[in-house]
Amino acid sequence: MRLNAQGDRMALESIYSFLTYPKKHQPDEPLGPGTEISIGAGKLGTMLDSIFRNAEQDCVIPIMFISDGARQENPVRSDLLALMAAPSLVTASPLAIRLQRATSGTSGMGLMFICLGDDGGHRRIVISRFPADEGVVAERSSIELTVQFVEQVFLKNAYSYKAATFIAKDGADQLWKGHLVDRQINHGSKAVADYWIVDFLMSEFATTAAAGTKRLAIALRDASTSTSSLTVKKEIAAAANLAGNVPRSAMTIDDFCQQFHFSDVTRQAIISKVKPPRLVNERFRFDAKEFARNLAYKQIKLSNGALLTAPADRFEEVFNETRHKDEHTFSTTGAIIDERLRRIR
Amino acid sequence: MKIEELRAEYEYRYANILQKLAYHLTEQLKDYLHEIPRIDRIGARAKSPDRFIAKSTRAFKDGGVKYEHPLEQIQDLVGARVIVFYKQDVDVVSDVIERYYIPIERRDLIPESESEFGYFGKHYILALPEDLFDDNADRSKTPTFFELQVKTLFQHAWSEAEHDLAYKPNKPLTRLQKRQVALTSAQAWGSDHMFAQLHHELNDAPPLTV
Repeated sequence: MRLNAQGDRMALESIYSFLTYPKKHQPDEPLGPGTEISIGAGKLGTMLDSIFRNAEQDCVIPIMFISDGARQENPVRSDLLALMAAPSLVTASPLAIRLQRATSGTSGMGLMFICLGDDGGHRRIVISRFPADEGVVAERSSIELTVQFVEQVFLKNAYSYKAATFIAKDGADQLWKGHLVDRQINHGSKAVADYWIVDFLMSEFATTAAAGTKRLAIALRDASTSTSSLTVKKEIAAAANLAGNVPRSAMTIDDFCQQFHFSDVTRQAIISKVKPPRLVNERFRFDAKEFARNLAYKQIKLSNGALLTAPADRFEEVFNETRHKDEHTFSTTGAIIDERLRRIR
Repeated sequence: MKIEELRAEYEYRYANILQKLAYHLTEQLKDYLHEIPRIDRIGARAKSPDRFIAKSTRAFKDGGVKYEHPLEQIQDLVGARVIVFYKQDVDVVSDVIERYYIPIERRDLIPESESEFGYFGKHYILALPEDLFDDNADRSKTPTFFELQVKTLFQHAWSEAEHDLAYKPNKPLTRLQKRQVALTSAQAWGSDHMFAQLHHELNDAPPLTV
């Protein structure tokens, strides 16, 4: 008996495989014939069984199906429900057609596996895709060595392997969330992430861009205001000034800390402010406007050359302002913790 | 699951999970919407055990069971409301809501016929965000979705009074009473439109498009 990480029984019951071609923005072509792979058939069966069993640990990025309207409908979700209700090569093929239609020439040909089985009494589906590669095969017989160049080699490559898993834990009609892994996301390729999540799976990260970015900005703000460390304050202020240029790419709070090369003390100060802590590794798309909305510095320049800066949400609290006609008088009191000369354009 | 077991399980979840969830959701909605003007109130509540049992035992017209797994299938165990002053504010709030939450359903509820008056309101079924669940929460007992209603003051006032008056068990409304209820809805609708027009003329709000 095979068990998952929770010690529940797991049984892979059906495997369907399709060769998918890049047909994005191209006229529809019929899908090539797929095949059903026998369970436990040699090394391939063992590898797929391993993918199925480890899907929960491998696929750690939560996603949600998108439904845009009055009816709770998502075409990919409908395909998964149909496959779960009556597993067959016929009910699996709509997913392969979708992958083909979503695949651009950049991503190229791929070998798709759809694994279906039981996970502790619940139905689990694991969809994986391996990109086509090229290779050399060397075959040695007793009298000669044959060397051949071959195309359409498919590897379980750590840098190109994609998988998504869906489990109908609370009944099939609750199948709105899934998890995926896309090693290429980790290498900063937004286009590939969109192709797999948005174009093929018609999903989005379970955390919206605004919610994830606000969570990040609030953690930075809280870390900065609650520390007496000048290093932490400086690093966060510098990041806040530069973050407006960060593209709308997928990231986690931890990724942001690495991107800005925060020191360990700053990173820990930020992570300690993320509630609940597991969300440090939750993925979202960075939203520069949302970031500025929550972590902005307000700056006022006066005609006498004075430059006043303070966190936007506390500016009125930091500076006391009085006004007489067009003349503004600002006053503030505090200990000097930093002083610098800066060249200003 | 027998009805007594279902009630006991729901009462446990209501007391230990759903009420806290509703409180935290209210706080989160207030935070996300704090810069939006003309919001009269924001609130969320957990469905009471009595209402849950009543809904979970509801049947289709042909007598078939509507919910085989009511704890998982009923999507408004937690329901939230945002009440705004004017019709234009419904769109402003909706834009913010859709930035922060993922909808699986979005509906403008209006009576079917143009000559009919009744319930009006914008309803969402939204995914509960991960921020609302502690690391040690028992996720097998937490809901996935919540319902959010965005309504004007007049829509809210009408639906509250209508709910109180029109849903009396064993006491269906007479034809005259149905007309009277429809009249109050028409008056609320008319008031919303007048205020939307004034809001456009006096506050430079966009004109009402519907």
